[in-house]
Amino acid sequence: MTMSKTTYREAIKAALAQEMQRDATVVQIGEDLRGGQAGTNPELESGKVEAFGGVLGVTKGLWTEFGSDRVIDTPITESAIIGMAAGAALTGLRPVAELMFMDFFGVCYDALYNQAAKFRYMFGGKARTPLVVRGMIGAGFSAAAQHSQSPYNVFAAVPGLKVVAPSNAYDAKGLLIQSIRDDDPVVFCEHKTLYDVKGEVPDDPYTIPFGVANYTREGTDVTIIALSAMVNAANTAADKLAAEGVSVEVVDPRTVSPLDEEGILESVDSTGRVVIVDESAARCGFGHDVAALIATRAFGSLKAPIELVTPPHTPVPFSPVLEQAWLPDAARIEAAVRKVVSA
Amino acid sequence: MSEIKLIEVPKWGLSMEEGTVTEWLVEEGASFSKGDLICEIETSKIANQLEAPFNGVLRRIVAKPGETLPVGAVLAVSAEAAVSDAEIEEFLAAIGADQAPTPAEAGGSPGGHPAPAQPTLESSPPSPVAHESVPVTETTNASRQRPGSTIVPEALQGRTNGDVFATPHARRLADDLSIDLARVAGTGREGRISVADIHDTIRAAGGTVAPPVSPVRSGVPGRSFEDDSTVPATPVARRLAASLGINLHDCRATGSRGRVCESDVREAERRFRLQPEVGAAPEPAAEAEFETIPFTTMRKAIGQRLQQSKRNAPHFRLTTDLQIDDLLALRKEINATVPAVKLSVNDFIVKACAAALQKVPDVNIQFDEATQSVLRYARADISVAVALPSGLITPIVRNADGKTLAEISGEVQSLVTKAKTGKLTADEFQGGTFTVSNLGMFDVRKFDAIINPPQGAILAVGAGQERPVVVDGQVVARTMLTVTLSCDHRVIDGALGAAFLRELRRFVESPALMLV
Repeated sequence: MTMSKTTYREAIKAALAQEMQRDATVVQIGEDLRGGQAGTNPELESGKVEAFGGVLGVTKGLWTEFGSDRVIDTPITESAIIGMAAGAALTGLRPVAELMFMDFFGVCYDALYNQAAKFRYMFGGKARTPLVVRGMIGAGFSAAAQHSQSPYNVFAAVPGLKVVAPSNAYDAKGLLIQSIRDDDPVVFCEHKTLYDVKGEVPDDPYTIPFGVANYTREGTDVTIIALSAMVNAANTAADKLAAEGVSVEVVDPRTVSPLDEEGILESVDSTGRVVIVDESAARCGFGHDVAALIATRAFGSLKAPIELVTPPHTPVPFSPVLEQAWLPDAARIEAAVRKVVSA
Repeated sequence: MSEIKLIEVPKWGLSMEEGTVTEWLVEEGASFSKGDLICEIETSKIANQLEAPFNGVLRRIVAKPGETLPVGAVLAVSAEAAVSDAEIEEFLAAIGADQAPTPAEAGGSPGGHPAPAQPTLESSPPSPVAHESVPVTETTNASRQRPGSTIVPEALQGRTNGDVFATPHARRLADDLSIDLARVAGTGREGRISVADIHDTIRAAGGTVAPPVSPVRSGVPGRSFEDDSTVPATPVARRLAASLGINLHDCRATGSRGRVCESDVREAERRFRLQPEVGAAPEPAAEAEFETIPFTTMRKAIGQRLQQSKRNAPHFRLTTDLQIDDLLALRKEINATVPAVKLSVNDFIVKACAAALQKVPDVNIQFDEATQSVLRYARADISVAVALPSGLITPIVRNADGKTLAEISGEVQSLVTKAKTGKLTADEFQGGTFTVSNLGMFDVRKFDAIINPPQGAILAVGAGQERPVVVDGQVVARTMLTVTLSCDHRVIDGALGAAFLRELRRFVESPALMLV
């Protein structure tokens, strides 16, 4: 299999394009997918069609290749996007709906939380809802409190939704293809600070199963559990500590729901010391869920109290300086590791 | 009944992983008594003599001088005269220790070895040689015996070929146990194989799995001290065990669904009452008023070195008070303005000592007692005393005079972390030209320190306190720090020590000088 150095953004687009080529029922639904020309497209007549492709250019070129029937620009109305996509999924299509910023899920939460997530259950198992909801998460771009959140913890609390948060380009492509082929609604969270990060990605389509953690570092003294962009910060801290002789294992669960409990617990059993890094929330977040899992299932293995590294319980600040202070970083992770090691 | 016992590489200190045999002090064939010095073993930290753990006859030396072996590896075999050489050969072959086991061998080729020959042993069963490197099921303290080690049935043995879906830890365990994962059924998502699946398969195929070892470890053999809250037990058994001080790990589980029940706890209590633990110090059977804590190697090393210093070096001490208001102001300013830098007062003291040593190089020395010569160093390598639960160690900030305060601070922090995790390498704590010992954080006003040989002087630093001082005839409040310099009079005279303190005062009281 040939590999290419590819950005997270290109890996996501490749997954979308390859799945659309493979399966004619895969359609894209969202705002500005083809470049800010919702409703009419004068470029169609002029033959000049290469448009921007969404605010971050992820879907650039898809409309050119697949046309208006399969790349559908919508008005600015999240409830319509997800409502339409959920209905399309019920009728047999495999829609990929883009919310742009996951922060906007509140507008369409009923369609997601009380409709799409419940269809299979409410229709006695006779309905499938092969829906993917894509969107950006994460702070770090000075996008302020309404465009910087990471609500994967909210989605993960809903039975019936699968929640994916890839930390690198390879995972992004494999997990997105898996999401599209999955017969249940999947919320696919793309961290906005990762779009330009490159990694080795196979050119051909491939899938990564849900609920399988990736160990980005293997070690024996401390387990760091981190998700999405926090994996990179954890790797940085792990590499620095490795130079000092502290051997750190970094576990990236990759999917919040389903969660690879074995992958987490086996690592904790082997190290006995845990640091959990989570950008989602200072309370009731992904990190707290994992901490509860470890406390209930691996208490006997722990040599030190579990340490959590999360932002404070505040909205994300706009000021770049405050935002950097708000975000967990490698230095805070390192300090937490030192704390559990010396406990 | 004939009895064969093993002498194994001991675990001296938390970080010890292997030892090198330097000399045998008892010859093959000679008899020895418990407590006799058997051989000399050198570790990365220390050279020490191994005391015989029991009486016996040294029938076979397995580890030749110069060999480096992991903790728990077989050093020698002891047996009564009645035991024939052939029996010893057979025994060694059975436990796979006829050659000194390297970790690779230990994990790599258990195929032909039968289960450890437990029945021939009385008080000192061999460590589970075949599988002692199993990460999840075996403690690193190999001298600690577990009831039963992991024994893999032959049917499962082999090498994993090709793509098998397994967790990273399952994969590692299979490697360590030489299990072919193709023969293990995965019950995880997508059929993934977990560590628990491997254990289940071993049990189903007739093998045994060593019980899990919880992290809290104890040097006393026989009794468990780990957390037993996850051991299945009936509520009554759990309550009874707690009241009798019995750990549930030490109980058999004969109750329904594999639970420890009341009779198991009673049985364990009887067992402990009848058989005092092997190797434990003889002490009153019940409710001792004191606890016997064995002298650790680290304590011995501390005792030996400081006793030597106190005996050989004629100490004299010089005490002075330093005013640190300016230093505290500078520290506050730096910490408030430079992100990611958190200087401690001690970082300043280390830096000031290094700077003062540059001015008074005759204090920046080591005294070589063997050749009766003074080694004067150009760079100031400052040892910093770090307290550990098990003792104390003095990691070194090399070339401290050439480093900035921030660099010194970062380095001290990193050395302290390593010291606390037992990861210091020898060159990080051996040597040095001067030591700083600071008890300020404990609110000690002033104390004397013993010189850290082969160095010539040590500075004992107390707590910074607001004290009344007289300035121009007025009593005013100033933050004062009392330091005491202990010097070795063989190599440093009073005036020289005083000159050092004068320079130290200059840097501490005008801290800006440290920045230029």
